[in-house]
Amino acid sequence: MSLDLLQVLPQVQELGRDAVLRVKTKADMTRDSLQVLHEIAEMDPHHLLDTVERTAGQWRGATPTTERMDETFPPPPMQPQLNVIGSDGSQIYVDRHSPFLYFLINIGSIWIRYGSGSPPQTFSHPHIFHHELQLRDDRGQLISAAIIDKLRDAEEMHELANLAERFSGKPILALLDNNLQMHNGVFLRNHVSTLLGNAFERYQRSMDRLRKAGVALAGFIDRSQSSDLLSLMSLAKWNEGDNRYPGLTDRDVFLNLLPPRHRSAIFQLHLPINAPQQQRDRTIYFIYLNTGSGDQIARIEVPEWVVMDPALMELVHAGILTECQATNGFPYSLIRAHELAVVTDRERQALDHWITTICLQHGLQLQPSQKATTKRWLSRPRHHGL
Amino acid sequence: MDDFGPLIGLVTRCSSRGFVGAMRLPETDLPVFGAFCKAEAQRGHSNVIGLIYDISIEDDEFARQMAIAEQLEPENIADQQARLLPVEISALSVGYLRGDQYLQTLPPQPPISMASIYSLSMEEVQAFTTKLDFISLILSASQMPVDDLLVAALRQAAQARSTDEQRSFLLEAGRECARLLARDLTRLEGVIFRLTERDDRFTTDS
Repeated sequence: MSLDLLQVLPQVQELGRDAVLRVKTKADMTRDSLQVLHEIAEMDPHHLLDTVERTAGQWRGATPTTERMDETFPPPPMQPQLNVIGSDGSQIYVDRHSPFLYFLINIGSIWIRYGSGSPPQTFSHPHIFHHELQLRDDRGQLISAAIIDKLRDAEEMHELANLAERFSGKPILALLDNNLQMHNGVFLRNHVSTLLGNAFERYQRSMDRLRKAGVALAGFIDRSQSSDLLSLMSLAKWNEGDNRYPGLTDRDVFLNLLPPRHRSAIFQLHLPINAPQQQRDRTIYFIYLNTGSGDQIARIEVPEWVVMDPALMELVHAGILTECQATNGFPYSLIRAHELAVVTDRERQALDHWITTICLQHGLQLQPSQKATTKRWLSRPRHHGL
Repeated sequence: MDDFGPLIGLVTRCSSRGFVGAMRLPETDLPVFGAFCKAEAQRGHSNVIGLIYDISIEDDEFARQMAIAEQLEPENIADQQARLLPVEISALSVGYLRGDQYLQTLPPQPPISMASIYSLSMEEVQAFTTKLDFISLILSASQMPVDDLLVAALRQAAQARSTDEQRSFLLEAGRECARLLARDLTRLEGVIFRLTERDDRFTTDS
């Protein structure tokens, strides 16, 4: 065992003391921020938008819509018939130490027809990428984990579009365990690599297919760390672009505002001018939702076509509540989609073994790197038995 | 004999004393406790005859959480039942088939992994139970409900026969049990009682 617990223990004790202080500080900040929220909810929304415009495109945060910012919305009636599709993805990243260079994306998905009594249909789609062109970016470097993540995101959205078109029958709620801002944070010095560009186009085409199918698409984010609304509050009250409450998140605010099963007002996500054009062309909105289980407050992101249709927004609200009622606040379809997508260490080892075996059958003897080999030396202690 | 009963599942692990298989979802009558089954061994030169003594379904944390959830939709229940948590069936080896001959001893080799497990047809059950040496194999087994397994197997063997032959078969089986359990009369009494209960055709007049 290499973790020196004697060194770690005093640090853990300090962590505990600090955590208590932070909770108290956070409680004070939350009370204060709620007061500010109520104040700016009284402001003229046009005045708020003018304030945002004056940041000259340098600011990220939330902007209000027609709904009063501190208003809460009770759950709409549950739909007797509800189709929910959920997809999730997992991956095996490229490992230069493994015997063979490849990466894998596995997409799991599920179609549940609530109100039918029928068992859901489940799907799993693994794809191995092993061609040289697939393994290298535009600079000839091995494809990074960040790009593979975005390829995975694109495949998740693509799978939702496939299911929506395959199983027509409204109403349909399509869920992702992710935000809908695909390009968030992935750029190589403002250069969009070809791989990433292709993934983004696939993502966007899939969203267009979902829009045409009239699907209520929503991204479910658990324990969101976003502070977009707090940034608006800071801008409106003190003309400060950044969140005035360090460590406080929008979720903390809504934890104290939203009754069980209520949603917040709809907010528009405002992006800075230097955000990618592709990202700024697709307006994203969000709400916060108290799923009714303890302090489970989720951020739900939706595209513009959902916001423009009150029936679809109600579907998002009621549908997610239906999905969360048995699972303490996380959608059932996303739990199952994750289960269908996840690739365990054992499965990865089995896959590596198959690849090695198949290559051996073709006369190729593959070896892992010496570093990987030495790690195996350390991994399996044995006890001497008498 | 080319008769194949329905496919039950596939062997996942095995030994000379028995084998374990997995299947997706049980049917109403397949598999059942005490049923005879078979699985190929020795590269097809023989078939191990087994007696199903355990049918189990594993759970995981997700299934346990769903089981105690307050509001579970019917579709969630259906999904939990259909999730790929395999139904495991455990079978005790009670003999093997080589060519046309049934031998009621432990098989020379267990089935191989992924061998198909088939239910025995009525004709096969009747043919296998012509001799009763398998009863001693059941009685010598451990860590399973041996007496219940024996009763279930003998009842199934009786039902594989015509109505006229059922009583005589059970009488003969009872005599064999009496011989093997002569030193444990309490246990013998229990076996005989369970073998004859709920079916007046098999009670003796005297």
